[in-house]
Amino acid sequence: MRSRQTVLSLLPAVLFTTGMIGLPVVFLFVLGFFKIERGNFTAVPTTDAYASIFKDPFYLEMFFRSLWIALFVTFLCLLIGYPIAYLFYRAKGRWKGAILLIVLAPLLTSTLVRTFGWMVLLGREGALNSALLWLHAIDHPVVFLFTIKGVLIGMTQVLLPYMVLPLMAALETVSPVLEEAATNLGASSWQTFWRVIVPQTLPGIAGGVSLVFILAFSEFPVPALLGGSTFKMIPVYLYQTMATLLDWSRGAALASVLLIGSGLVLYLIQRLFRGMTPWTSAS
Amino acid sequence: MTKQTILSMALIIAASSLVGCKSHRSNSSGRELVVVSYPGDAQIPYRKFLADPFEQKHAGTSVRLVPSESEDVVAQIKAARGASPYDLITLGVPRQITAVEEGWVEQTPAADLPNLDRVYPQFVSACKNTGVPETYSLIGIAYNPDKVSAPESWSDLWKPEYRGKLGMTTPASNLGFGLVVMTARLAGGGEDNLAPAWPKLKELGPFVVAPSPEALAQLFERGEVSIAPMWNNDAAILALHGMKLKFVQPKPGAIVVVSCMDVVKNSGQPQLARQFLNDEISQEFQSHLAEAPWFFGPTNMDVAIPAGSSAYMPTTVEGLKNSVYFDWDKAVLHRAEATEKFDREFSR
Repeated sequence: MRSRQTVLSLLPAVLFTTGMIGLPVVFLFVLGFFKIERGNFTAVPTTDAYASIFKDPFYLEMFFRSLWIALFVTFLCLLIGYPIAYLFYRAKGRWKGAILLIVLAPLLTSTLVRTFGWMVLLGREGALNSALLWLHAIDHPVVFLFTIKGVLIGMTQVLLPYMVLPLMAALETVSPVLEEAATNLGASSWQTFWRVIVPQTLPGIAGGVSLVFILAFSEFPVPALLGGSTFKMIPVYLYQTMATLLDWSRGAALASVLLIGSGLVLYLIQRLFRGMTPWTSAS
Repeated sequence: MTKQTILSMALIIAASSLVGCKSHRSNSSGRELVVVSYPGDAQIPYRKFLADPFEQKHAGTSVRLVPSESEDVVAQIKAARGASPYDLITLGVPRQITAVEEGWVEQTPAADLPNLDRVYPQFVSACKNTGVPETYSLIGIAYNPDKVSAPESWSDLWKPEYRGKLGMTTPASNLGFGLVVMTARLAGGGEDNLAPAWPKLKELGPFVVAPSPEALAQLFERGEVSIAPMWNNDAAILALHGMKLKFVQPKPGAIVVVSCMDVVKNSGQPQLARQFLNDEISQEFQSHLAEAPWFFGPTNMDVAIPAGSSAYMPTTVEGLKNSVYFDWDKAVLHRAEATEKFDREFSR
């Protein structure tokens, strides 16, 4: 009886995931093996679309560029996110609430709105350039918009909460007893941090890194708006291929490559962290 | 409430919303015309002077104007087998040629369009004698007079003073494609030979590529660009709103791009849709289109260009004739290729 209830209660979730995510992904993958001419589906299977991607250095370069941008953004988020989460861990009382609010606040507005905000801030005559010029830090406005600089700034800000939240959760589980033990045994605070606290938060780091990487690798609005419509990243080009060139076969193939590539890197990240945390089954 | 009740309620709500989506159009009590029109303010005259009077004239009919970029809509029309989700669609001439060729727009009988007699014949043939020519627009050059001097011809775009201040759009839009074809012409190529355009366009760098013609306005506003090829009506509207912007029809002429409105095949209301087309090319509606703040080129020859619009369009039949007309039949064959080439050449 109990198991039947469990099955029944899981059914909507299973149906939803299969119907809304699983099947479309399979359909997308298969779509890449057929030629779709001018919106008409031709039932003759062909590997042309996939071949055109793998044989073309243009796509290969774009794939690796998207990959390094995603990895670099993940690194930046970790670099900025960890101190914020650590501050939260150390803070007491109302400060804790304030930090949490600051971390969560960006999630209250959509990515699109925040990206438009960055467009205003990073513009040639935007707030950032005006401030730097006023401070005589620069002679000429720095071009942020439609360059990789702007995209990295925007993506890091947009994805930061996804790094900080798992880190906060992980730090909350750090046992203060171990910290005291380390101090009593003569460890400096730096040593305690690196050798006692950080290892305990590795599962949280794994979670944050995986989450930010997936989101960064497939991010569309930020690179499209801050990088411009010719910014060389798979999601931007994917949109062009599907919506502008109407080449659905190649678009489907490109989307599948993005999905498989992202899955592969995610697997590697998980393996790396599992190797680093043998005492726990970080997943 | 037990878990099961909540669950079944959620399922019922989810299921009914799905059913609701499907029967949305056929269930409505009156008749509805779904018209794919321009996005933004350009839609206002269509609502005010065409759709609203049409609804009054045909009781029980409602007109829904869908603002959309034609590419997305074309994809949807092609994807929908059977009944079309749209009844009428606005297509710029390059896409009109493809649509007629692909056969998903209707060849409207001339008997249903008495107003067509008063439309410039070159525009009727530009629309491949299908649908009606609803407006024409011009691609010229817009510039910020506070930052750069006025260009006089298309080749002036290559002047060193404009380096780093130029904006453009990709050939996915007619505006961007127009620049590519014009560049090809200047570099010794033409509509059927775009190859010479690419090295010549490279000389224009560094430039900013806007995702759409509308996005160019923001770039001007924020000082990211000071000069760019622009639609005449966009430039006129921006200047009217107080933006520092002037429009020139550069030598040898601004590029004329005719917009056609077609009845989509498999429309649920073909007869009604044709009546809408006929109203659209009436002298009355066309006169409104040519006025500020819309600034559309009228296709009905009985319309006199208002004084306030004269900076943005030719005021005489002669002037209209001397503008630049591309051979779109040829150019359209290279469009997809040009869009892809542009991405490859200029992606960063």
